[in-house]
Amino acid sequence: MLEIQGLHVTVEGKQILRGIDLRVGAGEVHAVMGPNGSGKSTLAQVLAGHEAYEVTSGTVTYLGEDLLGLPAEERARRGVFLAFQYPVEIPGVTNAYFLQSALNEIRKSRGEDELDAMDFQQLIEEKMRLVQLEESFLERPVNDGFSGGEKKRNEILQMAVLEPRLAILDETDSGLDIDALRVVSAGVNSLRSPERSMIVVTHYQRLLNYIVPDFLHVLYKGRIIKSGGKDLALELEEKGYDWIKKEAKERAK
Amino acid sequence: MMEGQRAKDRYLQALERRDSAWPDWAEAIRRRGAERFAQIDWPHHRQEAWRFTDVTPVVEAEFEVDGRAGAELERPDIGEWALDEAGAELVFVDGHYALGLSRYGTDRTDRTYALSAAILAGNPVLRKHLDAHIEATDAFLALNAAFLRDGAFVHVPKGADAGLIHVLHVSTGKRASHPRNLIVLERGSACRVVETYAGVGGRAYLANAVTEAVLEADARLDYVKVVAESEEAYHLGTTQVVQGRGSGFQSNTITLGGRISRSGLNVALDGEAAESFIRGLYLADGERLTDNALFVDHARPRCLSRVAYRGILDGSGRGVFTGSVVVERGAQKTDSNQVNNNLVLSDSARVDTKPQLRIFADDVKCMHGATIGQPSAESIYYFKTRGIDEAAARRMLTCGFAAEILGHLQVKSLKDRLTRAVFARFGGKGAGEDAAAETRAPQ
Repeated sequence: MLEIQGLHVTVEGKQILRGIDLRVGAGEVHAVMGPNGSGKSTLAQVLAGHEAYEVTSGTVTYLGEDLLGLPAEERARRGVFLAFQYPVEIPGVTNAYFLQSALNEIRKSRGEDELDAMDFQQLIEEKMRLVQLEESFLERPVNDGFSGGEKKRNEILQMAVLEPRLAILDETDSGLDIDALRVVSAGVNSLRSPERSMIVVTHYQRLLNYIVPDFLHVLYKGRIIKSGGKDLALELEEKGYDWIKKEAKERAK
Repeated sequence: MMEGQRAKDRYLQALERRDSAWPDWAEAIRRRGAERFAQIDWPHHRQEAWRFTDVTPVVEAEFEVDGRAGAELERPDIGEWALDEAGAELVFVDGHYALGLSRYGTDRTDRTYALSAAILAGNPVLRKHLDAHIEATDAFLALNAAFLRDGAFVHVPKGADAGLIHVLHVSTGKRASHPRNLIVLERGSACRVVETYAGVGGRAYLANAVTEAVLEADARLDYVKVVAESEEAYHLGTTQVVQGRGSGFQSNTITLGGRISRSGLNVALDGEAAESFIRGLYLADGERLTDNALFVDHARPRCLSRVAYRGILDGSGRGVFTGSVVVERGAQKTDSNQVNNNLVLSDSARVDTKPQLRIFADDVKCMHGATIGQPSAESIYYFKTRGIDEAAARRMLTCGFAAEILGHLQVKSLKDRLTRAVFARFGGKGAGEDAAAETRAPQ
């Protein structure tokens, strides 16, 4: 599904990612953890196609294609989805209109018929139950005046509607109380499938109690310094990052 | 200068030829207007109020100025602008009342007439208020009084709720008309008035309109002015509002078109604890110039005003916004906020914005500000990550920007119509009616 090799990325001349290697197979859920400033969000944004991030070397292959050569909207049309850490507020544009437009762009690019308002309504109602949102939510402008929890639920709703092949969740747990976290996680879990891969970027191990990953990677200073199974998450929770940092230092010697 | 004098002479000659069969008090209004017009020059860009709007083309255009009616229209000609929800709809063509196009519902609580009929009937309320609240501070205002002929007279008696009244002024082209409306809301009454100015036939003309609105204590007026003049037309209008104690005024001025259009709105908060919510949306693309000149006078304590105007500028369009809020001495506990936001979509579009505040009281809460910008890169990126390309993102953001004003319109068919109009202009290719209907405005 996704293969990242030797990825180096700078932002405004500053080196953030210093050689990332990562393989994500179909249906796999990978967690990427790391302390603040380790480059987690940069990795997420680079995969989604943010233009402020400059790839200085390395490759990203997605479904056999060079992902980095595609503009952001083309990546989205081919099934890449980023759930934002800070979803952008779009005053004046309703959720319903935004989502219908997005879905139809993606359907068009797949050669499918566009959905009219009625078909869309049917689809969206079903998806909204997943994240426990009320119908009035659709008439509100995108993220405008939403609570933190509503914004995150909205990201998952978008994901449910757009049905990506590769979903990247950037700190989806940040700013959520325990109830909202449960709802969001349940939404994400219901979207797990053998055809859909996920990269879950998080600072806290807490999220991984709800969205249990197949693999876990620790990112530190722009490199993956340790990879393992879900047991690694528990070890991190018990012991913190320091022992891995030390291990990495010793390896470097 | 010479051209200006020639134009002036043409109007003056037409005034001399005009009939004068009205009662003395009404003829006196015309006479005062004519005298004033003879005394003053055309507005000029050296005057602060007209600094950014050059009316030379309006002055020099060779319109028929005799005030005679143009082509007769049929209902289908105006169907585009009719409002079916309205309990009464008064239609004027080139400044003349069109009885056959107008309609009045039954069981009405208001007393709404054509102004000319009310003048001839010697209506005492009309006589008390007509031309009593406005001063002819420029030549066009003076012309409006001098050529006083017709418009809507909306009168809502004490405590009544008159629902929706639509006043539609249509121009057929090649002439100057001077519509005059008067809205009088007695104590505790309520009314919704939509004024539409539109053109049929696409030719140049001048609509030089004045509306006076009087809100007695605790009255509620929801006022919408739609400027949808033809592409080559000129619209100069002034709405003068006087608010009594505890009254509430809602205003939405939506300017879609006209080669040059200027809407003046003067609101006098002349009773304690009166409230004004004054909004506007102007679209200036192509070669259009739109000017909104706003004046809010906090004359009494504990009044509240909220001003929010938005402009979308594209092509070689020009936008002008002047907002003056004055807090007079003694108007303590004034709460005022004024904001003007502009979206500039092309390099050759231009906007001049000047929100101003003058305060002569010491216990007040006042804010004002203006922004000029483009759709943010961050917003566009968000759209792109959802499969929507930059061009479409810009269109949706532009229409969303407008929707934030249009969302305040309470008459649904009007809101939908104007949303479609914005979409047609800025929604780009493939922006069909379905899509526009989906652009639901925020709650």
